[in-house]
Amino acid sequence: MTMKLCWLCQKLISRRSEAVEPAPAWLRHHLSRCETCREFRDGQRHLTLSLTEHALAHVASPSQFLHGKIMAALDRDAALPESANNVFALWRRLAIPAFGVLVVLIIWLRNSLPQSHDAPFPMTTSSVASGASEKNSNAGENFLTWGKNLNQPLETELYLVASDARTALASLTETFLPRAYNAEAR
Amino acid sequence: MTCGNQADIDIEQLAASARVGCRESFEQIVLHFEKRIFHFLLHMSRNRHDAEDLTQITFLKAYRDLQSYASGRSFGAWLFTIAKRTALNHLRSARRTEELTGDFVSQAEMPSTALERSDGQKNIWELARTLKPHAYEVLWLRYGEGFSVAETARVMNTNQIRVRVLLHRARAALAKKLERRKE
Repeated sequence: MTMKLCWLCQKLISRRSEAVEPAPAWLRHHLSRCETCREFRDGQRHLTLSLTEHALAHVASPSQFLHGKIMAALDRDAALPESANNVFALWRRLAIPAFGVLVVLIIWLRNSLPQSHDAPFPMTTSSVASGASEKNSNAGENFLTWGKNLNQPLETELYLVASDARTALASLTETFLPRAYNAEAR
Repeated sequence: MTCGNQADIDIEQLAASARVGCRESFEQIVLHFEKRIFHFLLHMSRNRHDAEDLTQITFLKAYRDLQSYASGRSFGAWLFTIAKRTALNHLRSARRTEELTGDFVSQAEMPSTALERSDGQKNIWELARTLKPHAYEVLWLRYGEGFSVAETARVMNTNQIRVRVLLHRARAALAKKLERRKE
């Protein structure tokens, strides 16, 4: 029982060494009777005292040029043109609003890009595939999910590839062949 | 700019006059703290050259950010907080370099190696250096630098309860090491 009490007291003494308020009465009472705990408390005091006393001797010395180096660095910093510091401060102040504008711009682009993308290539795989563009009335959603449309059965894929090739050939003939030839072909 | 004789003025007053542009005041602050900051950073970086560079950066940062120092609080704790953050940033980037080169800390600079090299007549602090880095740091800030528990907590970026627990554990570990050495 006494050993347990001593163990508890010693824990408390160590933990209370930074405390400002006085020790509780039961601890003081125990300390007055128990020599082991008194020794422990004195040992703790001695330890903290020697840590404080020997600290100065333990401090490592820097090279003799350190002070000069620090002051030279401060001089160099002070010699920097004020405008450079101002520009940097301005950049720092503008960073958050600029980031906000960038985010808004990205969202706007993400919503508007599919519409402009669909217009010049109306017969591309993504637009043709199983009427995906008809199903997805939202253009932004279509843009994000275009990859899913590729996951089709082989026949549909082949049909889509052939359809794309036909469209490409038609646009090539319209662009490069003479009108007369085109009319004959029709 | 002249700021008069400031030999008897305390650090907080020096900081206040440095904040309004007195360079001589800041030089006195540098003189007062450079050795202590260097020692603290030497423990963190474990390399003299790095510690000197970090000391220089610390004072440069402090000079630039003097406006953010709230007067009335401990200037020492504020400066040590800057030093610690500077060292942590350096260690983070050094760790990345270490991953690339595989050679960062000179073994000759390691405290444990230094302890093994030296003879039996050792300072208690040399024994403390063999403790875990956090334990040594908390002991140094509390007993070496004489910071209060609150100031130590601010420098270590933690709360006072954790500082008390760390101190308790560090003292217990040091006491054990002392006992072992006596045996």
